[in-house]
Amino acid sequence: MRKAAFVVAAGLLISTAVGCSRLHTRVTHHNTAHPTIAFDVYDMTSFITLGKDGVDREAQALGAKILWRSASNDVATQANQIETLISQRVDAIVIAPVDAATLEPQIKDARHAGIPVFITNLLLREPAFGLTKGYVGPDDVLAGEQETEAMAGFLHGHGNVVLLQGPLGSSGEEDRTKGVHNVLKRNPGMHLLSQQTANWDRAQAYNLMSNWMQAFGKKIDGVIAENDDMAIGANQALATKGLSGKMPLVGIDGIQDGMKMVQNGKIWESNLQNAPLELGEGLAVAVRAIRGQPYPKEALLKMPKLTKQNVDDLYDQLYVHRDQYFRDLPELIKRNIDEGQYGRQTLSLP
Amino acid sequence: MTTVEHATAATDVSVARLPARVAKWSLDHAIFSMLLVFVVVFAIVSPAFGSLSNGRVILLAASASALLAMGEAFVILTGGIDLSVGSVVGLSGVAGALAARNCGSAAVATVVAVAVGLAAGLFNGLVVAFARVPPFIVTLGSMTIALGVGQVLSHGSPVSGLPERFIAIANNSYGGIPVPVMIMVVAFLVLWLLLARTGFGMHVYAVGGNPLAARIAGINERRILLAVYTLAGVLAGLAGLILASRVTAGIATTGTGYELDAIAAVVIGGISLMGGRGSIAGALIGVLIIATLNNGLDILNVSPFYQDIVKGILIIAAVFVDVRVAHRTER
Repeated sequence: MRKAAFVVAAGLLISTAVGCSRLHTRVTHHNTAHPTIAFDVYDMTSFITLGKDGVDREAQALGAKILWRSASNDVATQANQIETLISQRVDAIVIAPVDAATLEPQIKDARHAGIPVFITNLLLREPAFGLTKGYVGPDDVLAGEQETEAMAGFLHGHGNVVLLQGPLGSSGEEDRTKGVHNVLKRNPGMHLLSQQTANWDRAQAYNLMSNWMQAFGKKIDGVIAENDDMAIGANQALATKGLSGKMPLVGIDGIQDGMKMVQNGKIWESNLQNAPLELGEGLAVAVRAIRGQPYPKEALLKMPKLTKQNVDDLYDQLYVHRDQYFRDLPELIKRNIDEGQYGRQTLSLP
Repeated sequence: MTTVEHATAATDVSVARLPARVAKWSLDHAIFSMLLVFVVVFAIVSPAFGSLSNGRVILLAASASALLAMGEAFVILTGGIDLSVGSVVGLSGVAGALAARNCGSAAVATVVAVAVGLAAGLFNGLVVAFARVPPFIVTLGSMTIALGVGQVLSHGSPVSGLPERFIAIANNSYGGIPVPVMIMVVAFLVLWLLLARTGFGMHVYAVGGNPLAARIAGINERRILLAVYTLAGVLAGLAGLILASRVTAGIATTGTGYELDAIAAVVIGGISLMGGRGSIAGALIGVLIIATLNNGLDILNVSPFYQDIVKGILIIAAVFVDVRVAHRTER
């Protein structure tokens, strides 16, 4: 048994010592007609699962083969998966990072192997980001600004608000918080009573909002949540005091439940991050890069505002007439990238 | 008396009875064969798996897990369990990263990370051995404490912007072999010697196999317990350092859940959760089986959800074999 273990250890060591030389050779023969592209995502969340349908549809249209990898929110797993993808010699890797501060060595290895890396959905910090070929993701600063502008509108520029933040240090939280503060600075009548993280989570947002209502009582005039899940949690807390739908509440992402609550007036405004469109464009950018076609280095998707007036159309488009939307998605993605209007939701509306 | 014989048989010293040795050998052989079967099957099905550079990828992925599993093996051999190793990975990674950022030295960062692991292990060992609190409870508590301390030290966000020298620790290779793999191999050799060739190793088996008999035989059970939990802590500290360097950031939540992977590897490797039976090579092979499965199933493009199911079935199957063999050994 011990001999066996030694044989295994020695064998693997020798094989890696021999094999490493091959890792550093640049791979130049991409299959441009039918490229194999890996999507390594932080986790199979509902957002990613929705976006996966967009990617799979776009892949069918572009003739690409997609390999899905989920890191289950573990940074080391994501690093291992990327190393594996490099040894598999995929044609490109699109990453939705678990953590913005990681992955530099792995992306360096990918570069050595001649495999381009793209980032989607969440940002990566320097120096890793500088090693990538492109980014397709939401304009989170703008989304934070939009929701706070909407709040300022509801409160006519005067009032006390609380802010539910995403996980501290994630790019989504940092940029959305920045956007919120940008608008608060422009509105001297608006006061921020408190800001704290509820980690994108409904239950944590419920508890935090309950505590805030204990602490501040009737002083709270409005609730700004950095995503819809936290807005939904906050709404449940508001409901215990009979304030659901009565106190201005804004969110971001336009998840299915969030859109429904905009429809029934519980969430006053949200901002749609269209997952199939965003991740689909991520794939399109990677394929264009491999094929030597022009592509944007940074495609920021502006999120359309969701209000009671327009939410029905966008909801029906994504969830009711879903087949039609996905049928037309590749054409929309193509036109959006060609015209630089990455956040355009549909070709039929102006 | 069967349990005493059983315990000594497992130490594989000359007094072991022949049938027990044969049974143990065939058990280990079964696990080793399982690894070989996976390697051969994956290599046949997918050319990418068989590529030599992929072996490097598998070993690199296994290296930190192997340190945790081997530490966990010592604890489980004494009949205990250490649930804190995952959180200690995150805590020592944060501590090492902070040290690296503040003084720029990879050596200081290494010392700090390992010392933090040692301190956590010592705490577990002291409470288990002297306060007589069950290991499950002690390490459940220290798991949460370590995570909390890590979050406090890092203010809940990643400790990044680390010096190149720190990042080089786990991302450098010498002669084509990544440093974490070298650390894994050296740790394996040292721990194997410790367990299979020293009196301390024999006492670890004795304490796990039959604590009463061990006490009567004059073994200082407390010292053994203190030592194994400290060892597990040191190895977790080392794993935390490697992972923080590899992902270029100290993150308190990095190791969350790794304790269960370590226990799974130990179980797959044929080490009895009751204590007293198994080998350090079993733990290493258990880790290699999991790493090979992760890698091979990824390369075969099996959905992440099905991968979880496969791993779960494997764990249960391994224990099934384990129980059968133990039963046969006792008869």
